[in-house]
Amino acid sequence: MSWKESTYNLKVETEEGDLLLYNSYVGSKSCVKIKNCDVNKFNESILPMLQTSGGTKEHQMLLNKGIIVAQDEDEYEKLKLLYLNVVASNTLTLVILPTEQCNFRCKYCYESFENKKMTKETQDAILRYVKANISRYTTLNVMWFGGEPLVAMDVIEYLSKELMAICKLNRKKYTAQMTTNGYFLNSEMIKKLIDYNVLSYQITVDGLKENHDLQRPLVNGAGTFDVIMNNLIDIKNNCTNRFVSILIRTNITKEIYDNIEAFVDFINDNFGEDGRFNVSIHQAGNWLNRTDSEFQENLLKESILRQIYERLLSKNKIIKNMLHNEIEPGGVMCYSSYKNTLVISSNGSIHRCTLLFQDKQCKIGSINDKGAIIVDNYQVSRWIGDITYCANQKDCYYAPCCLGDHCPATRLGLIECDKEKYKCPVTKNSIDLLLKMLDKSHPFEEICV
Amino acid sequence: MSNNQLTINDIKERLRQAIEEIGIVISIEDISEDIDLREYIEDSMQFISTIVQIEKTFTIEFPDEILHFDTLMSYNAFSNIILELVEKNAE
Repeated sequence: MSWKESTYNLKVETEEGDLLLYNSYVGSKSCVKIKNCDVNKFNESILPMLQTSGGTKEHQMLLNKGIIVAQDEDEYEKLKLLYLNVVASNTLTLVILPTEQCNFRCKYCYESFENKKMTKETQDAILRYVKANISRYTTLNVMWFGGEPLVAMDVIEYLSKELMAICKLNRKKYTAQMTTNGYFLNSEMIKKLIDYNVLSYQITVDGLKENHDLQRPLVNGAGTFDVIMNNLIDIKNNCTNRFVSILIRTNITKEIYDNIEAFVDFINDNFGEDGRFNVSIHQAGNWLNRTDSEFQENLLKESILRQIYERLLSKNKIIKNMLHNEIEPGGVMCYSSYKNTLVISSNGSIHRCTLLFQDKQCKIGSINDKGAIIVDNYQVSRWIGDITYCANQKDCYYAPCCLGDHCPATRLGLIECDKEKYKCPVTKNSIDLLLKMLDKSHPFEEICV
Repeated sequence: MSNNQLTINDIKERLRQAIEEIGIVISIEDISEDIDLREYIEDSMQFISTIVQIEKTFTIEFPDEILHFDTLMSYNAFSNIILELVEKNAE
């Protein structure tokens, strides 16, 4: 038998003279390091040996990690299977907006705050829909979104109890996540939410106090940094649940970029030793052209993710717990691509995308006068991820992560941008640096070949 | 039911009932042999929900080193791990 190198490999030479190997079809578990090696040495000496000599421990390890595959394996067939598993999974995902009101007025926020708390009629329509349809799925996954969802805790409590009961009765799995501004999420609140299976949270912290308070103030203009930090530290110290995960998202603007090292130090000092807290870096944008006009001057014009990583690595400022969804299979494909996703706004209209949920053109369903959720299957079909959209996916090492269509809203022309430029996710051009960062925070397994 | 003096068969049945409550349905016949529990769990969130449910049911805490997907490879072996933890708690 003979083997070949996988199409989905990325090889990264480090400053220390080692070679990092990563396979996007397997994801983060594939990451491995060959000491004192470079791409040339791997291609010219190591790979030919691996292609013919099976049976060794190292060979088996690289096989398990997907770095090498059988010579006759058509990897595109595997990619199609992965695509089907992700896009048409047996999970019903409901993104529920219990309210569209928010206690924050973030400068780049794209929401209009027109709709208020979800009515009892809409809540009951959701329950009827789940009862009627849950038999078709193995799992119900609820993503609480807003507005600020914790402003409508009564809606979350009612729906969670009822949805969990429906799942229990029908022997279906139930998982839940929440995107919150973190203002009300202290250890007491999180204990309640854990009872409702909400184990995964995303909270935005935009740099240190001065920048965060400028970008993410309360409605009355007051700062929010201190409250959020107190809450996060309270959770770290007083929430004993090991399975809670909190993603700290940072939307980079000019000033945060200028002070990024201090911010990394702050996050590492406060949360670096607690693996439940992860960090994800994004670039703030003029989303839907709704960013405060004065604030637009703070936005960075060009994509700077790569520069951020380069700068942090050059100064050895390593983020201890970096989120790495962007190197997982299907990890950068938006949930709006999935066949079984509904975004349910607080007024009961049904959508696919949380960015565009106020756009009437993007509505895919509604609640009828009998209180039933009606979904337009034609509209759903337009959103389902299209594996053929990107012409390069057969040869691209990153295809298993984006699956050819990471953002259907871009493909459909619903977001104003250069469609060709955004065919690839912005994360793709900095994966090599992300791998270096991950290797420095949690060193990759070493292999001797 | 108390966790005192449980046998491996008690554990296997209680485990079956516990995960059935969260939607992982396995027949009594299946666990009389052995099964790969990984086939019933689709992603990391479901894995965590499953572990949380099992810890709650048996009032145990899994050590971090066994908290990975492959621990679920064998229902029987996993039941033995639970039995050990239950017995340790009772000491």
